[in-house]
Amino acid sequence: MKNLKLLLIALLFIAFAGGGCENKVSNQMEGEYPQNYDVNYQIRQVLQYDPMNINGIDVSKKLTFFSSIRFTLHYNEGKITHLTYSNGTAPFSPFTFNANPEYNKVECELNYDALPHELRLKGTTNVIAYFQNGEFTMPFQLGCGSINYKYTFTNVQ
Amino acid sequence: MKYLKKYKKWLLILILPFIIVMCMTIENIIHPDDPQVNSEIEIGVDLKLTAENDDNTKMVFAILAPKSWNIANSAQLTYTTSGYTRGDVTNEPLTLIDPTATEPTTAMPWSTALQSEIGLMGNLGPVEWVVFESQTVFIITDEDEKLITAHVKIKLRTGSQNIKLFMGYFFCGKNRGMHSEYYKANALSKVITVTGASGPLTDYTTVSLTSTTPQTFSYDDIFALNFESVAGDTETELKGIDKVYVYGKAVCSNGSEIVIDAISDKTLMERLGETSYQKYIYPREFFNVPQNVAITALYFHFNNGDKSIVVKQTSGEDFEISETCE
Repeated sequence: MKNLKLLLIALLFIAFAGGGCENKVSNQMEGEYPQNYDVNYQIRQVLQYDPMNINGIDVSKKLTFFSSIRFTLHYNEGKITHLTYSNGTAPFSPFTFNANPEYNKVECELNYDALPHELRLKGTTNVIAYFQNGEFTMPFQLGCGSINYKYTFTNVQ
Repeated sequence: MKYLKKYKKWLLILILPFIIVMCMTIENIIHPDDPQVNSEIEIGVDLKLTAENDDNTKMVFAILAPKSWNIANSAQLTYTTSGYTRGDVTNEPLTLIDPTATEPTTAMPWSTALQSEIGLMGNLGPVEWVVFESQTVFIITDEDEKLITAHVKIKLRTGSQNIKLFMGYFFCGKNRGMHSEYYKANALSKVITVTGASGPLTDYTTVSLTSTTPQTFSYDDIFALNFESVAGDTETELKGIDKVYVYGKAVCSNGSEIVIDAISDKTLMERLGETSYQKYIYPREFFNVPQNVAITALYFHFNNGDKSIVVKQTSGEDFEISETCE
């Protein structure tokens, strides 16, 4: 019986020691993982909300210009530092604070204090997008106050 | 006979709920004969309450009307009762219910609860339930109150569009709301047609040959142009055609007209069903309208590609699609 206990202790020790080895490997991989990189996004969904369609209608496939919109986040040492936004051939801007919707690698920051988290132009209150449930979204309006739109972006390789 | 006696008690139990729930009804709706746009109209609604349950409650009264009429701000309602043994009410105003107040059986705001439980009463356009309440708390005991009737007088202002819709009316006790023992189908609608504007009639009661999604939009919005090749009794020659194309004309603020008359993917409509077609457009992009120029009117018609079949209005004119956002 005593031998059995010793055997069990020895097995547990080996098991934990094995786990430790895995951690080492994992750390090595993290060390090799690139810290400076870009993540590219394109539109997954464009919801149009109106009082009769409160859950929204996806119009992303109805108009071809939505597929030309591009959004890139630039990471430096694992943190978002810059963004690039290209409006493609879209004939309107989702941003009320800039008539020219193009941004070429401008500084930005992700504000974790706000819920949903806000991706802002650095040093301003201008929100480019919201980060929620692992996705970036951009709400906006065009002509009619009772109609709201929302871009949802998905990352692309 | 023996069986009847045996099941008498059960029959009574089965019938009882029907007696109880049929205690409140809308008896009559009186609309003006020829209501005009941008004018004040008066509507009368007769209510009847046969007391089968005891309750201490205010009365809730609701109207289903076009959103564009904004009756929450424009309507004035009064009511007069007859037969209330504790003292009839005469011309008492009905006031807007607190928007945070909830209907007790659904726990939703009253307007939302009515839209959820009763719906839009067949309307296909943007309408809303606007809910009012009495000031008087009615003390109802079935021993004292046998039959109470009420006449609700509604004064409201119509909108700027020619419109046809099902105007809806509803009432119940505020205390129990749509509780099944106190409420059953106390809602009734009646068609109203408001005319006098120069534009076309917007009909919320039937599917028309053309419509838009959303119903309310501006020319600076994305919207879908919908086309039905068969609508009601109207059957167009495009029925059964697989590929339907749209012709469009934009009239601009600088006096110019831009015509899109192409047979291409740009003008090809998406076929949604046997007789339904749809084309989403962002008008400025579709018509390539220059910056600083506004669109003042849009016209469309539909064809089969080689243009041997063209569907326009019966008058021969294109369909005008007017922006409706106010």
